[in-house]
Amino acid sequence: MAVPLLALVDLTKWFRSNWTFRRIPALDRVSLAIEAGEVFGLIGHNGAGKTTTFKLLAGLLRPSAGEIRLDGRPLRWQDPRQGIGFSPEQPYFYEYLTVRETLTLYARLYGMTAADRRQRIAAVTAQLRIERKLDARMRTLSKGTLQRVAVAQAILPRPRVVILDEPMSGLDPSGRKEMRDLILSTKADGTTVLFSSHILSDAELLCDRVAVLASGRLRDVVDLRAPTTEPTGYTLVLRDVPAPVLEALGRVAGAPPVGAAAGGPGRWSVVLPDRGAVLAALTALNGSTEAIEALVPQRPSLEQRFLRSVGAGDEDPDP
Amino acid sequence: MKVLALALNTSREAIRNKVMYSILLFAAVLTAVSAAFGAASLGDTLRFVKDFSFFSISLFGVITTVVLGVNLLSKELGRRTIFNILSKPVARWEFLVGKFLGLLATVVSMLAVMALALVGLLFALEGQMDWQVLPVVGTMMLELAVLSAAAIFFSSIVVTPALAGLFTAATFIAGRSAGELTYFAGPEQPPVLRAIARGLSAVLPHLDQLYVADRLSHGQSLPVSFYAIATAYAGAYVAVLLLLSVVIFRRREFV
Repeated sequence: MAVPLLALVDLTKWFRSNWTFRRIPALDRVSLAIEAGEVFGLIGHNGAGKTTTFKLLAGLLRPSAGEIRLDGRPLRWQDPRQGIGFSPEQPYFYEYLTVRETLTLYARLYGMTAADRRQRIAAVTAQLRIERKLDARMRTLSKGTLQRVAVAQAILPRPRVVILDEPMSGLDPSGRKEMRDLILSTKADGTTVLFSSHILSDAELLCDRVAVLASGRLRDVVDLRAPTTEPTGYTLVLRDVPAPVLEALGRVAGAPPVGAAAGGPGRWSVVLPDRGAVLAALTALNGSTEAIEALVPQRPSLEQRFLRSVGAGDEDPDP
Repeated sequence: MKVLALALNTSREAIRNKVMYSILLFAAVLTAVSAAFGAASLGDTLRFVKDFSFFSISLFGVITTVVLGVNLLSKELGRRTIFNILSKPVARWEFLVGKFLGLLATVVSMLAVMALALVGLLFALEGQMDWQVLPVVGTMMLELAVLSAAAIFFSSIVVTPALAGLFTAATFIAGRSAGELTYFAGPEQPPVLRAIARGLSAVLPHLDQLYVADRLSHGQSLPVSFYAIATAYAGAYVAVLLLLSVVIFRRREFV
């Protein structure tokens, strides 16, 4: 079995309260294996442990237990993060520097040569459409532009893994679209992307797999690449069906058909629990297949799976 | 390379800080005032100007070092800019040494500017170059190197810059008074007091030995070996303080 690029093994982090020194758990025995080249999402409420996970990966926090492995080798918390790019949740920069000076500083810290620095800064700023802001001071930039600079500094050295903590935060719809495109193009370059988001539709659009965290625990890992297993039901949409047929369909479905919200009068929909019920419904239609407008298999959305994993309303306060 | 990048950035931050220019301007004004008072004084005008200028340079050097030094780490932590630094392949020691070198470069540059201004002033008064300024300001730089390391050390222990500033200022005052400890370590003192005085004498930086302005402006000359020993002493003290800072800072987490 291939070694995952990045592995979290029973990763645990607790903090101590200031006065009582009581343990406050932030992450509880989380194990994940992130494959090379995938876009992996972390989703969860505030305080679920997403940022704590990323800070542990970035070496800003020390694990209380468990370990992180990069290419199968343990990565201790004080080991320099070679090959990992990190963009924190809020873009924190030196206000007195220009964008060019900021990126040059970080490029130097990555150990890039002068020629590589120039080439990469030009390429990355063009990719993020901030090349015209190169000589602007950081303090003068909008939140969206700061977010772009944050991503720019993370992908500057062509890292093997780029960690983006809430990269869509503070972006307008077009900015979010650009960020999504950037994440996909980063993936296309062969970089593994690990990001967190509150916006499930973004995760659904971008991720190969998604981990659901709640109260510091891993609740589910959803593989969005593979077709979901069996549908949980089928929605049959019909038009102009005689009353006796509707009654028969109601008996098959276990509930009477309801008037469809869209499409005008005479439109009905009925939810059938399985394939057997679909066949029984077709039999009940007695060959009048022209009445069928649609037969839609129902699969749980990421939102439904998320809510099922964490429990609706199970919102945790920040630690 | 990484250390230099961090040092350059630290200096750049200080240089773009308007407070620095206010301190420099104030020091220049004070030196000019000393020249005016010196001209009006009854005694040795030149000695008055030199004493007052050396005092001003030292005072503003210390103020700058303490103010910039204790804010270096707290600013990084408060503005969370440290997240973007330490998540790069940068060792903790590289970060601290970079900060120290950046602070030192800033303070040394500031002292050099003030020293040049003083040389110019003395040239205007004496009609010849007075190179005595150089060893005085040179030893002041050694003193400020020790103080910079102390500021980094206390910043790595305590969270608030005010407390770190208090400890650094206390170190400066105690260090300038370290010579007085020989009195309390004398045989006529109680054993407990002697032990405390000896302990403090061993731990505190002997900054009094590095401040030679009084001796030089009174015509005393110092051998080259004195400067060599003073440089070695300051270097060793800085190295120990930075080592301790790194040991403490290595354990620090960033929530």
